[in-house]
Amino acid sequence: MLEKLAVTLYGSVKMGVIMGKAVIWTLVMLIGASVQVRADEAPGTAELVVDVESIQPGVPFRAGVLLRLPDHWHTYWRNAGDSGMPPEITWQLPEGFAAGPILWPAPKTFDEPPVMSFGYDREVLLSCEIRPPEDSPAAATYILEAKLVWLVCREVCIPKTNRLRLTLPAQVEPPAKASRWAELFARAKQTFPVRDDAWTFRARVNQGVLSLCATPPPGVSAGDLARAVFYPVQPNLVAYEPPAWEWSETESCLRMKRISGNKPLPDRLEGVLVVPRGKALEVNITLEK
Amino acid sequence: MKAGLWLAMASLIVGWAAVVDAQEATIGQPAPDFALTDTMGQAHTLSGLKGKYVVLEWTNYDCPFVKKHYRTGNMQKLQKKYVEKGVVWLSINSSAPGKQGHYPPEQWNESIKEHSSASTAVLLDPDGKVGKLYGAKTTPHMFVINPEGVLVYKGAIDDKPSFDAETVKTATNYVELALDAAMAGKPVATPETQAYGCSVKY
Repeated sequence: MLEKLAVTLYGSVKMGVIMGKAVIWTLVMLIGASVQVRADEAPGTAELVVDVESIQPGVPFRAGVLLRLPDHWHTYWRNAGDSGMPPEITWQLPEGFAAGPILWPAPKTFDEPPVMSFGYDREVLLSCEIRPPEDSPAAATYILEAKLVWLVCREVCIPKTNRLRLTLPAQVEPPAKASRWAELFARAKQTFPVRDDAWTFRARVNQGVLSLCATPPPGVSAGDLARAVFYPVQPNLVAYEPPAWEWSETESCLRMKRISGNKPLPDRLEGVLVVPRGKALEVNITLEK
Repeated sequence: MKAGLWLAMASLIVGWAAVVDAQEATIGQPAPDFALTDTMGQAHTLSGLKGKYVVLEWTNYDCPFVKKHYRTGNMQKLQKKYVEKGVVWLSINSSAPGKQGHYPPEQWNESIKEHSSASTAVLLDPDGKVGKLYGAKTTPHMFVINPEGVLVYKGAIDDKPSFDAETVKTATNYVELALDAAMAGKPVATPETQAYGCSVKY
């Protein structure tokens, strides 16, 4: 409602010849207020998608939640960073069906100093493998359901809950046919962090500083590595700050301030290193103490 | 070669200093002093509260995470429990004018009543100076200061980073743990955690 009003007013501003500053300020306030929409009007859509057209007993397939957001809005990665909350997906599947862990595409940084968060804008597919049992009863159709609780933010944050549902026919004979979303799943593969043994990583904690040191393979430029961003999977471990790499002859190290606490340190450091013009690398290494 | 080594060492030292200096309010150190006016027009300084336990609660009533703690009565219960024990509980709002959660004092006073807030006072920090001094990033973001003026806890209110009201029931409340330990003369087992919530609207 307010949004419409603001748009109408904005239209009249364009038509108007002389506008007082006060009126423009009022408009800014109105547009600002229109961001504070109710939860059921919150921007963004969620859709349950699969990469097959039908379900075969014992043959795993991929299912996911496709999130789409209008410009300037974002949602969060598995570690949301300083603010926000990761989307939560709760599957409700037919008997005997098992869902694997969510594959999280590499995130990007939303830096609004002093707050740094990690997440996605525009479009993201959060997907997992689903394995139907070998002896799936010969049902005519299967119903997949997911409850999604997520937070969409654009300066202000709005919580959303979506109950998603998809009905798929059963199919006994292979092969499984690709669904209309198959291409989307293929594209999503490019966004997953990968293991790359051409890189060497080590991580160490010393006096309140956690250092992650990386030795890149030849061909990775110093400039690219200097702008690489490390996203720790584990929350509550380090403070989030713009990355500052330090160079030596063979490796470069990123020094991160530990969140002190007296809690035991994890045995491993898990995260994603996003290298500009390169891949997103999975980091899962022993944390030396 | 030698010069290169020295340069590398120097840059390491500089890097180290940058990391250490980035800390704002530091656990085990005196909490930075501040002066702020509350919604009733009353002035408050931290130095004027020596001898008392002080809780700073960064708040924004329009944030879904803050709403979780007020709608469930969780925040008010905590405030009441410790204010009755002589703790000074200061809620602080650092929303800038025009940003979410910024209201004139009169409107704040109505909101405070509506929310049945039991904090000692709600302080207004519209230029965000005190929020940035403390490194307040989210609402809620909690700080506990002992009678000597030393910061003994900073971070999340509890261990459930969600806006789902159900999570309040099973949460471990870090502020409660910190205050109970400190007031019993024991060290605070978890003095620092990562806060969760909405970003402070600086």
